Amino acid sequence: MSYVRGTLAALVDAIVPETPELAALGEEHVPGGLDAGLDELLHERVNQLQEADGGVWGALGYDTVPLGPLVAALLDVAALELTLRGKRESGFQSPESAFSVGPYSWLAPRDRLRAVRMLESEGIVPRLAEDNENLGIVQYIAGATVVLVQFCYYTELTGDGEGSQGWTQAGYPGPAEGYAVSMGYEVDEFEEDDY
Amino acid sequence: MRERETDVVVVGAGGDGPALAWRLGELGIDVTVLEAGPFYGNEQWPAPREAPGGESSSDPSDLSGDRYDEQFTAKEGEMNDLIMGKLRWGPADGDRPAWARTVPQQAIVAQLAGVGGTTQHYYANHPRAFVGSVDDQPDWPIDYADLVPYYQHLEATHPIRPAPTTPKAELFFEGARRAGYDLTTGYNVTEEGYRPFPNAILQPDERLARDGDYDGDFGDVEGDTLAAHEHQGGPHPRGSDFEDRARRSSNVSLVPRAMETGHVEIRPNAFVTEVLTGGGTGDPQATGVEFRDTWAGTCERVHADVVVLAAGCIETPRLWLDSGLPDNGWVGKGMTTHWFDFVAGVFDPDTLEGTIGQREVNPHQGQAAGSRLDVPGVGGIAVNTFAPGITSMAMYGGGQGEFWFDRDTAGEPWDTAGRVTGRKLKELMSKYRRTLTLICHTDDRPRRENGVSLDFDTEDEHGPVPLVKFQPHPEDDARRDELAERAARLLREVGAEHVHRADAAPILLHLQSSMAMGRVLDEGCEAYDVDRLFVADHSALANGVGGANPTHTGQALALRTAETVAERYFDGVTDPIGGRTAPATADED
Ligand SMILES: Cc1cc2nc3c(=O)[nH]c(=O)nc-3n(C[C@H](O)[C@H](O)[C@H](O)COP(=O)(O)OP(=O)(O)OC[C@H]3O[C@@H](n4cnc5c(N)ncnc54)[C@H](O)[C@@H]3O)c2cc1C
Repeated sequence: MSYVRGTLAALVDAIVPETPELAALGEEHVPGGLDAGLDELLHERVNQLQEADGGVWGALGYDTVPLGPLVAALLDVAALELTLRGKRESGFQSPESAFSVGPYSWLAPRDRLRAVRMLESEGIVPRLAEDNENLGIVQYIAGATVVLVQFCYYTELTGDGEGSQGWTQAGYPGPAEGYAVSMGYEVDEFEEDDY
Repeated sequence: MRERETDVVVVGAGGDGPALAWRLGELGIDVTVLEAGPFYGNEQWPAPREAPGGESSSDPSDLSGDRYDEQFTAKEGEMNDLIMGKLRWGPADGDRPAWARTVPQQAIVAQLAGVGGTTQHYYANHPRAFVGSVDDQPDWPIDYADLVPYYQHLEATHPIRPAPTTPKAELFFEGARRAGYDLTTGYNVTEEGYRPFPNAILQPDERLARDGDYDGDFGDVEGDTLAAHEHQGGPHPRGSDFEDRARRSSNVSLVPRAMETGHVEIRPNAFVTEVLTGGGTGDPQATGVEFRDTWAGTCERVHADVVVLAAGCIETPRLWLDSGLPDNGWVGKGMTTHWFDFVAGVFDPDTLEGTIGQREVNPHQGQAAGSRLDVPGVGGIAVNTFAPGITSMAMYGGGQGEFWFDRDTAGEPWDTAGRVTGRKLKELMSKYRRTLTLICHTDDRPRRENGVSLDFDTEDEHGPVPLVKFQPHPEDDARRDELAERAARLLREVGAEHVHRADAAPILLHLQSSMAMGRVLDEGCEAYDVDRLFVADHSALANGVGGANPTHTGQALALRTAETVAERYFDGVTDPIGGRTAPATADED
């Protein structure tokens, strides 16, 4: 497992974990994002966020800026900041085998999300961004990772295109041609009323 | 460089550009519409994401329902992935990343490229502006009454009709009744009340009654099939002609009409990078545009008597500023976003059985958004339902501030708030089919701090990229809080067992007023500081129209602007929709 993928895996796992506790709802509710390759989907999207329009990356032959390592490093920085500021609420945990060895992977799941908050609004990066707008993109990317994880998980992207673990867990049958669910009209026509 | 001439060149074939092009075409004026993104559902581009395809399209017989069916799968990952999906802000070429924008804060931007623009995934909600937002708020230089004939014209054209009641709408209506609201039945909103949405969606076939016995495959019905796929491109009913698709996005409803006039040509994959100007000592005068072919990378110019910017609230000011046009301090500024929030209610099966006669809400069935509550002066609350990916993203993934586990909701009208993760997320999403999701559209007010400027540190092939900022004013926050509280109350009244408030971070999805008439544009939507340059997209709206969905007003204004263009620079309009003479030019005022 690469450093980048392993760090993103720790984020994915904090958002959509495996949940043996939900077996009572049905076995299909147990697997989490890592079982569905969600870390890979996130990695792919993070690396597609920005086109390498010439510049160093373009010269090196990249079409897009490989932001994955940057995001992973930022999560590690945020993990350290959370720890140094005494805002961690749980002790370090040995990382799962799918995670990286960086500090972010040692955080308990909720602390991993608190670390995201450091990047968005509480930590040093947002503070510096007040004077240097370019850093604000970190706040954007931090929030976007959480959104992307949730979006990808509950679409067909985590499956074979026809269905997915997320759809199954939500009870969504996939696109349909239609549904006969009309109950008539609360209002037949709007009127051109006075104003 | 290739150079061409036409009467009017329009930048952007999104929600509003096609409305203006249609009206100009009817008036016999030749129009070239340059669109940065792809043209889906057109024989000229059989594989729009894979190969350059044709050059432009002006023949309505190019429009193809079969192509639309192939390309619009209605799968949310394939269609709606903001980075790699077919409906995104990016080039047609699916191997390339999305186009850059700098948003230095937590936010989601949902603006699309392609013919139809952002209406390719809109819900076709077409309420008029709230009357007071035009007549009582200080922003509009024209009266609400000036817009009404154009609204009526669109209502007859798309057409726009009351949405049918479906189980999720009935649940909402019942909540509204129990919370003490009255039904309203008028187009012109001056009072609080609930109603079905005026939607630009063809009415469903009468056979699609819940208590009927329809068991077909929907290939034999006309109109809406109640498949709830608006967000995923809304291509139903399958197999019908392109222009007969039920959801009347501008590509389906207005583009064919524009092409039918015989005067409108649409050129996709054409990113406009500069507004060309000339003129002597006075104000500069727009003379045309330069664009870049997004596949070939080559540049071309189109010279015209009039230039119309319809590139949306972000790209219109970006293009203006990248072109070095004069900035009076309001270019790109005053942007409103409806400062959205989401509130969801989860119901138990018995409650649902008792209220709507079925044991699930089934958010994935029926129109995505068919019912609403108007609260003039504050905003609106609407049923807004999605397939699970967007539900999770919007309801549970897009919040601002602390995650749910660090929030104390004791004494609040909701049980959970903020971003939901972990087991709680999976539990809530396992109840997706018993969840009703509501959106709050805040009547946020224009502020100069909010909007678009240029990020000179980040350039793409089209120049410095737009820098977009939005921060709500405390009064906007207060209005949004009020809407969220009303939404929670409505859900509780009808028996929700769990209520969640997203406390959403800015979602830039409804955007208005970044090039407002009265601030950057005159009463006819021509620039104060550049002659022959008009704006016909939502950026020209003077404010957020009270929190009503903006496209009806954007398109109405675009029709009016087309008539002004004809009055000022062509042969005039013998039969104006508004039954009026267009306003004189700024110079003559
Ligand atoms: C999920 C979703 C649901 C929505 N539902 C509703 C609804 O129900 N009702 C409603 O009123 N609104 C709805 N909206 C909002 C609505 O879609 C937009 O407000 C509307 O499309 C804006 O119209 P516009 O013409 O201003 O911009 P757009 O529709 O964004 O069009 C701008 C066009 O210009 C093109 N363009 C940009 N820059 C350039 C350039 N430099 N050169 C060439 N072309 C360029 C773009 O590619 C785009 O096609 C929804 C939005 C979303 C995301």
